[in-house]
Amino acid sequence: MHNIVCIKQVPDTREVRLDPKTGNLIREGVPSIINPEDKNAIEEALRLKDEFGGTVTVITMGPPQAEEALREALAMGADKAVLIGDRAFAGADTGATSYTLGCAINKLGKYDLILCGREAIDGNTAQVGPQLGEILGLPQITYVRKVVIRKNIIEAERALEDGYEVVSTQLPVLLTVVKECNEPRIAAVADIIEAYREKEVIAWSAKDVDGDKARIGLNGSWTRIRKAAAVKPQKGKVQILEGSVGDVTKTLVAEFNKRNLL
Amino acid sequence: MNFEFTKEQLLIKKMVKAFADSKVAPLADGIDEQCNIPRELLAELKKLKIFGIPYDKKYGGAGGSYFEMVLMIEELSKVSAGLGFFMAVHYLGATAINLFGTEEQKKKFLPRLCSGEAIGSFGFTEADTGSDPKAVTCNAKLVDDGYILNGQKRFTTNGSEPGVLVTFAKTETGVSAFAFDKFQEGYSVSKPWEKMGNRGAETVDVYFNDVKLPSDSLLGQEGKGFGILLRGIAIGKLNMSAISLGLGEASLEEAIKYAKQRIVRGKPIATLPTTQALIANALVLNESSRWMLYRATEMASKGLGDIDYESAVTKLYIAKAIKDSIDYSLQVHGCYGYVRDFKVERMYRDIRLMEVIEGASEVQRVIVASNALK
Ligand SMILES: Cc1cc2nc3c(=O)[nH]c(=O)nc-3n(C[C@H](O)[C@H](O)[C@H](O)COP(=O)(O)OP(=O)(O)OC[C@H]3O[C@@H](n4cnc5c(N)ncnc54)[C@H](O)[C@@H]3O)c2cc1C
Ligand SMILES: Cc1cc2nc3c(=O)[nH]c(=O)nc-3n(C[C@H](O)[C@H](O)[C@H](O)COP(=O)(O)OP(=O)(O)OC[C@H]3O[C@@H](n4cnc5c(N)ncnc54)[C@H](O)[C@@H]3O)c2cc1C
Repeated sequence: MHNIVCIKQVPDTREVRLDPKTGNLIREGVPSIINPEDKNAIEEALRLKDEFGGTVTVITMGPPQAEEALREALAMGADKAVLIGDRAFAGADTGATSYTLGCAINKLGKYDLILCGREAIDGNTAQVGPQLGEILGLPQITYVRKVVIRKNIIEAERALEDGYEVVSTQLPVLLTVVKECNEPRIAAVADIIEAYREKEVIAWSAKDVDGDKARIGLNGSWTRIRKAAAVKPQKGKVQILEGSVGDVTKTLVAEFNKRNLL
Repeated sequence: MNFEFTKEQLLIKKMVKAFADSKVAPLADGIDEQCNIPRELLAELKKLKIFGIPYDKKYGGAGGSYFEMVLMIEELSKVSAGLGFFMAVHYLGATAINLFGTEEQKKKFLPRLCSGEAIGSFGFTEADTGSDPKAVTCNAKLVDDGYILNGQKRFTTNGSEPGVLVTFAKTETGVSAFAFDKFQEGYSVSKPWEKMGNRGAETVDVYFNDVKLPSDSLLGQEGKGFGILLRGIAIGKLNMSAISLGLGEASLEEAIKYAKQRIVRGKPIATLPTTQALIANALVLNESSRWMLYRATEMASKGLGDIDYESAVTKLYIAKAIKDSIDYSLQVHGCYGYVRDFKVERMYRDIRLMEVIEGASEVQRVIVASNALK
C-alpha cells in the first residue's frame, strides 16, 4: 500500500500573541509546527502501513524551513519526503497550491491513498484537500474520523456536527482527516537522530514538478488579497448585579431575554 | 562559539517534553509516593527509544552524542526527577561498558541495554566506602573459567531491575571492574532504601554470594577498575547535573505561575519587589547552570578537554546553585511550598541528593583544587 500525505508547516497559533497596540499577530519567535490535523493524516498513513505494509511519502509545498516539518514526519516513520519549493510558487492561493501538489503527486507515481488534514490552522480554508481530489480525479471522503480497508474497498466514518456517516468507495481515494481520527505518535529520539543524519529530503523546483506555468504561483491564482485588516474585538460594558440570589437570577434572566440569548 | 541548538536537538527536546507532559506527568506523584517506575511507563519509554542515545548504531544505539542524552534527562526530570534518576543510572552502567568493553562485551550487553530490555546499574559504594577504592571489600577470586564474586554493595540504584550491573571488586592486583547480568545464581537484593527524594528508581543493597562470573565479565584490565570508576562517574555527573537543571527550571516555572495568581493585600505577589528578587535570583542560578552543563557536555561529546575535571566543576557548582534556586522558588510559594500539594516540595527533596551522590561536594572540591594547584 503506497500512501501520500500532504502536510503544511504552520505557525503554532496556540502561541501567537496579539500586539496590544496594533492588534496584529506577532509572528516573531513563534515556533513552527506541522499543522495539527496533518499529524493525524501522517499517523493514519503510518497506522495503515503498520497494518498492510507499504510506504508512506510526505510532501509539502513551502519555504526552505518547511524541511523541519518533513524531518519530523520522517522521524515518525515516513519513508520518503519531498519539499516543493520555488520562487515561482510565491503568492499561490489555494487553487494554485492544490494544482502544484497535484502535479507533484502525479510525478510520484502509483498510490492508494492521498491523505490531507481537514484544515490548516493558519489559512483555515479547508479547500486544498477537496480541490486536490478534483484535480487528481479521485473520489474523496472529507472529515474522516475512522478508516477501515478491505482489499481495495475503503469504508470511512465522516464526522458530522451531530453524528457521523459511513461512506464507502474504491481505492485510490483522497481523504481529509479530523483530529478525532487517532492520536499521533510521538517521534522516538533515536528515530529523530536517524531522520536528520541518514534520511533524505528530496527538493523539487517548479521545473521538477513540471506543471502549466499559467497555473502556478501568483499567475495561477484566481483570487487576490486586496486588503488585510486586524479586527479589534469589541468589548461590551460590564455590569455587576447586586442583591439577593433570587433578585440577581431574575435580573439575569431578564437581561438574557432582552438580548435573545435564551 | 555556538550557543544554538541544532534543529535535531530542538525536535528531541520537543518530543521528550511532549512525552513527559502527556505520559509521565499524570504518574509523577505516584512515582514519588510508591518509589517505583510503573511497568506500563517503562514500555512507553522503550518506544521512545531513549536507552542508547550516544552509542554506535552497530550495538543498537542511536548514534547520537552525550548532548542529546543530557537534553533527554533534563526534559524528563522537569516532570519526574525519579524517572530522570532511573535513566541517569542506566546510562552510568551502559556507558562504562561502551567506553571500556571489548567488541564482544559491547555486542553481548549493549543491544539489550539500548532497547531498554536490560536496565543498567553501577555498584561501587559499600557500607564502608563511597569514594575510597582502597576500602573496597567485595572480592572476586580468580578460578579456571572466570571469577567467583562475594560481598555486599550499598545503595545500588536499579540493582533490583532486571538487566546489567557494572560493579567493582578486589582481585589479586587491585580493584577490578566487572559487567554481568543481574539475578544470576547468588545475586540478591535488599528491600529498597526509603529515600528522601529521587523516588522512582529503587536504590537497594546488593548481595553477591558465590556469583560465578565467566572470564569475559572482566571490564578493562584486571586491577584497573579505579580508572573505569572515575570516567564512568564523570559522565554520570553530567547526567546528575541534567536532573538538577531540569528541577531548577521546573521549580522556577511553578514559582512564576504561583506569583502571578497568589493575591496578597489585593495584588498578585508578582508585583512585590521582594518576590521579583527571589525569581531573579533563581533565574540567574538556572541560567549559569545551564551554560556550564551544556559546555561540559559538548566537550565530552567532542572528546575535548579533561572531562574528569570539567564534570567535577560542573556538578560541584550546579548541585549547590540549583539547591539554592529551588529554595528561592519554594520561598515564593510561602507555606504552600512546604506541602505535598505543590510540586516544589518534591523538587526541594529531589535536589538534595546532588551534593552527596557520586562523590560528595567536598570530594569534588578536592578534584577541582588539585587540578588548579598542580
Ligand atoms: C508565500 C505565500 C504566499 C501566499 N500568497 C497567497 C495569496 O496571494 N493569495 C491567497 O489566497 N493565499 C496565499 N497564500 C496562502 C496559501 O494559498 C494557503 O496557505 C494554501 O493554499 C493552503 O490553504 P489553507 O492554509 O487554507 O489550507 P487548507 O486548505 O485549510 O489545508 C487543508 C490541508 O491541505 C494540505 N495542505 C495545505 N497547504 C499545503 C501545502 N502548502 N503543502 C502541502 N499540503 C498542504 C494539508 O494536508 C492541510 O491540512 C500564500 C501562502 C504563502 C506561504
Ligand atoms: C539515593 C542514592 C543512590 C545512590 N546510588 C548509587 C549507585 O547507584 N551506585 C553507587 O555506587 N553508589 C550509589 N550511591 C552512593 C553514593 O554515591 C555515595 O553515598 C557517595 O559517593 C558518598 O559516599 P558516602 O556516603 O560513603 O560518603 P563518605 O565517603 O562516608 O563521606 C561522608 C562525608 O565525609 C566527607 N568526605 C568524604 N571524603 C572526603 C574527602 N576525600 N575529602 C573531604 N571530605 C570528605 C564529605 O563531607 C562526605 O559528605 C547512592 C546514594 C544514594 C543516597
